[in-house]
Amino acid sequence: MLQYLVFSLSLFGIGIAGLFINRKNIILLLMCIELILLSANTNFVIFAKYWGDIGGQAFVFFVMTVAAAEAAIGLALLVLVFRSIKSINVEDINQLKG
Amino acid sequence: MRIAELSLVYPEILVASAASIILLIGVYFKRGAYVLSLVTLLAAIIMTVAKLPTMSHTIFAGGFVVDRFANVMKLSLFVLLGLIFIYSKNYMTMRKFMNTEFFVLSLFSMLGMMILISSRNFLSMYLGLELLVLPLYALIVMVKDESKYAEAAIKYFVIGSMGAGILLYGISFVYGATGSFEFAEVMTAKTSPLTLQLGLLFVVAGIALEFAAVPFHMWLPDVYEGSPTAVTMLIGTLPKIAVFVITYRLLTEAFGNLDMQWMHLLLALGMLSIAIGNVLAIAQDNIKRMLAYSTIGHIGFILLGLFTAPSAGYIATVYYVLVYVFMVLASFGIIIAVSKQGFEAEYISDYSGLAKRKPWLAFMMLLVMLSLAGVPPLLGFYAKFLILQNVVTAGYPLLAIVALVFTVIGSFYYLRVIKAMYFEESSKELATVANGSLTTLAGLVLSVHSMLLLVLGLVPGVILSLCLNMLGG
Repeated sequence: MLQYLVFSLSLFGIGIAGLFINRKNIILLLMCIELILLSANTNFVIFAKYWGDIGGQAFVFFVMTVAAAEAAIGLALLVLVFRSIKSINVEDINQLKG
Repeated sequence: MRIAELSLVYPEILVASAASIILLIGVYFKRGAYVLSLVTLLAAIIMTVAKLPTMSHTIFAGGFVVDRFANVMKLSLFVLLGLIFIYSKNYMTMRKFMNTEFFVLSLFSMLGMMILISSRNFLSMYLGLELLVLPLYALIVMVKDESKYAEAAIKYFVIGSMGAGILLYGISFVYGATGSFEFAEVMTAKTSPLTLQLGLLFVVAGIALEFAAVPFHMWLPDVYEGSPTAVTMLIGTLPKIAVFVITYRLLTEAFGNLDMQWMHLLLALGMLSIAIGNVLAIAQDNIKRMLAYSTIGHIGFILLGLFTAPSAGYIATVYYVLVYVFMVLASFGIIIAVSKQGFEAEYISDYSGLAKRKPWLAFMMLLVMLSLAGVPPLLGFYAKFLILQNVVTAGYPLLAIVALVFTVIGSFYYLRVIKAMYFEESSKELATVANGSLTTLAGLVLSVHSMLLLVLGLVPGVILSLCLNMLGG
């Protein structure tokens, strides 16, 4: 079981690190968010197997549904950002600060 | 589950179906949404008051709890959302923003908060939280003409989703440690403490991100500044109540046995928030941004209250949350009242000389600012007093002093607004601004709202007995 947990932990780490290190573009941010959700999903499945409990696997379906809704909104926002500042570069999103 | 149990979720069913119906009707009658939403909220209030439960009912296989605490909190959501609709009506009409979607999305977001407030397992908690935030992302960008709205929305989206992801990762570890999603079973399960603590750590981090406690606060000022004021008013008030209630439930029902661990996490988050929120607010020129940092300071107080709660009880914190949300709603109402089309009244300098132009508005702003600063005899004073009293009785007088010092530092920026209003002359352009973004009804309601800050401050027992009643019941 441990190697699976390490796998999900590294997914999570890549996701978080990507959110912080990434200076290039918003699509990468969306992908990193998906990675974080996937790592949680992996964990749920692993633990569901460990406990012999169907609940964890059921949870995964809900998370996947929500992730789809979230991705839809994220991409819609991406389009809006591109329309308003003609760029999806993270560095160009800098009007608000202080 | 029996059909009779469904009667307990009538308010949720009402809000969900009303929001869908308003969306349909709004295609044909653009004007109907405002009245219909207010009617929906009124019906929800009546429905909830008529069936205020005396004991706790758990339905939907343990996922949904209906008790007095949840229902009183939901009542406050209905009332506050009604106020938000009333205040923002003219604001939105002037900006060609008065469309059905604003009301529908707000109602759906409130539905998410209702589910969050009533959740008793991690599944309904997660779904409630997502239903809370997803409509908010869309609400921010409903006015398309300014690029800062899109920027605020994408920032809120990225940080909010990251928070939800971290929370989810924490939930997965809690599940791994206990094999259950029910709060009650998590509490009683014989577990491997290390895994559970790891889960607790991530869950608290996720909650802190939704709360915007330091060091997870970076998104809040940008979102406050970058949203239309009507939406800032929504983001700044209702979600605080819902997130607070779920924090309360998690800490008492799921992690009640781990209080030594989470207490110190909350203490660190709380003190950092009080310090950094109050200090950074001083440097702001934009009043919405200033209110955002002041929010962070107030969140710190809420977390400090939760820190002492295992020994001193939750009354003070519940009181603080309700009072804070009530105060801050009034402040955004006044910002809307001062603004007009093409003039957002966002900068503190926009308020200079307000006492000459609009003495009544200036007086109300004075009340709100003093109340937020915690000056007696206004409502905000007693809230702060109760929290600090708890901190002292729990045996941490030093913490109370530090919190007090930062509150005093914090009163500087509230007083700055008052100074601008009463002791500065308005510039020529400002003097010609004929403000009045409120309908007559909204002006009246706002006046009563601000006066209540004074009246309820003189008799603090009213809300306090309400809090006692709902926690006891």
